[in-house]
Amino acid sequence: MKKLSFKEIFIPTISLFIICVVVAFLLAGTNELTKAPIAKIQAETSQAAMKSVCPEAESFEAIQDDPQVNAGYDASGNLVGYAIPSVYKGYGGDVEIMVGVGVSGDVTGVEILSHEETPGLGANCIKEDFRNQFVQSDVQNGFSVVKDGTGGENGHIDAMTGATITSNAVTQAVNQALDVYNSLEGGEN
Amino acid sequence: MEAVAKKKYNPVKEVTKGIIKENPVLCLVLGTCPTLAVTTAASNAIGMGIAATIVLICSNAVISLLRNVIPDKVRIPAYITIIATFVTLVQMVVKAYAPAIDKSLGIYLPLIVVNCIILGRAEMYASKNPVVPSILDGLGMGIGFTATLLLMGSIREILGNGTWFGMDLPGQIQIIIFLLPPGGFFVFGMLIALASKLSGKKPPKATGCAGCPLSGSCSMMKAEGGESACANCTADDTPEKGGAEA
Amino acid sequence: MIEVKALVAVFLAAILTENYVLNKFLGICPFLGVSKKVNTALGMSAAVTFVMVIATAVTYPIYMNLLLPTGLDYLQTIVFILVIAGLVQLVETILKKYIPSLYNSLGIYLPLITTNCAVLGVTMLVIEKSSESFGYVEALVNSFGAGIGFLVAMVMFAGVRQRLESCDIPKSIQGLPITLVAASLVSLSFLGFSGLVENMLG
Repeated sequence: MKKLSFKEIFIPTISLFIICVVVAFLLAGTNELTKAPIAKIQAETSQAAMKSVCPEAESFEAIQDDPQVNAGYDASGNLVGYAIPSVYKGYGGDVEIMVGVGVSGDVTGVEILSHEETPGLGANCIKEDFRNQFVQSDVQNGFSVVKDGTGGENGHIDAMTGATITSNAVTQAVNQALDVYNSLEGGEN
Repeated sequence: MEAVAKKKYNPVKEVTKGIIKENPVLCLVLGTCPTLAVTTAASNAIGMGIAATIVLICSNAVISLLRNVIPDKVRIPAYITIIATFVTLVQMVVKAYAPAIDKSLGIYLPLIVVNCIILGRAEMYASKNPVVPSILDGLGMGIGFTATLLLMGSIREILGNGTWFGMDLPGQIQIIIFLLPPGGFFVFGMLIALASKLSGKKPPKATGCAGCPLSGSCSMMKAEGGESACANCTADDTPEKGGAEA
Repeated sequence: MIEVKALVAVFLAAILTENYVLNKFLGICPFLGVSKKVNTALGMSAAVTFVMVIATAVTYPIYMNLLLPTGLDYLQTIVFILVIAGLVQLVETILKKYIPSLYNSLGIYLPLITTNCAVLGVTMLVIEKSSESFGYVEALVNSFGAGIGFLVAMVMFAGVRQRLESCDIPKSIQGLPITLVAASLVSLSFLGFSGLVENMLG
């Protein structure tokens, strides 16, 4: 093999280097420009999710013990509930949800923040018919998935057709959120 | 722009060849991964198609501009860098202004980097042609890609979910298998059969050398190693009994 | 202490329920292109597995220790693809020089792997999963499993295609269409694994 001349090594290297420098500046610039809108959208999305699970609350504030959890206050500043995020492994990946829990421990709403479930099956968990089953008041013992159509009361949740794993994942995530709520309440009293 | 360029070549043809005659997905069989993965809903298909088209046009334009500047030895890394840059740019913009699309495309958005169509067109077309034709080529290929994705997305969404662009259709049929991976492969196979029937050509045998995204690095390898080393070619271009290709 | 059971679950899930080719549609090009003969399918998937593990081993620490702390995580795509391209080149050169026998059997597949979306896909997905429970070891096990899953899918499919050779196929679906229909049936069989790993190793 003949030895490469200085020029043969230098020119490709320098041209690649120039491309990389230009690229780096371009990307850094765009990142600066899009950083604010991305952050804003993320904040708006999480605000909207919190509002949707705690319909009575007007404003939210992260609580001190657990900055993940937001306490919801109504217009006159009374505590009306908590918006608690929770994650559980579903069929295709993590199912991330936001659970609204009222001051008396009732579930006021469930939002699916992200999921990777199968379209047409597990992805139906974003539908209201399924999510609204969780809006129940007497749930000290947590929720369990049933397949006999008795969902919607007594802590029972009807499984979605063909998507037991997803149904279970959402239910477990809600139960985790209830545990978080219970530890909060326990800590305060 | 097109009027200026008209003297030398037919700009309309540059665009339309990508839509029908050289449809990147159905005829050249490039970019199969996103075609199968994101077509569970028509809206995803459109989002993916547009994102890829933008990257394709931009990278074709830049690579064509730089085609005499980039040394031959480092052209593949240079192309990959350029393509990855545009993909990242598109990714940021989508995240900022269309977060719903970002969410539903997920990992397939950054994976446009390795979409065979883009590197394939860079190597096969943009590196040899002036800027304007390269842009038109990118536009045509992008439209062809988007149209095919839209078609597949519509078929799978209508049959599998009974909706189209999220709207409920009358007489909902929900054959869920169309949304699952097997349905994707099946619909794709049928579309290729249909496309070759309509165009009167034999269906492509497999991802052959003509459509091989790596024909670029492949010929590079040949030049370096002296042997025909492309596994795709050796695996598929070996003559079969009676398999004479037109 | 990392539980062995959890690692086995990660490994099996990557092969069966989260198969990259048949469930996530990554690496379809080689799946359709190189699966005609069992031995080429084996060679290709061995090379892919090899590169997947090495790529994850390199990109994971780069992302965690370099990009994330400096707020440069938006460079992920571009850094990963360049690292993979460089690695493939490096592996090729090293194999050629020191282990020529391995180079002769795997070498021809290596350049094809740079643009194999399964490799980039694996390195990105383990980063995504690192937010839940994936440490470095899990990430490596997952990408090894992904490679083996690729191998299983390729070899099974090569077997199916060899059968197709001797069949009388209607003219208009000869070639790629019938190959895709066969792929559809193979992926259908993988749907049967759903929930298996969770229930087996819960």
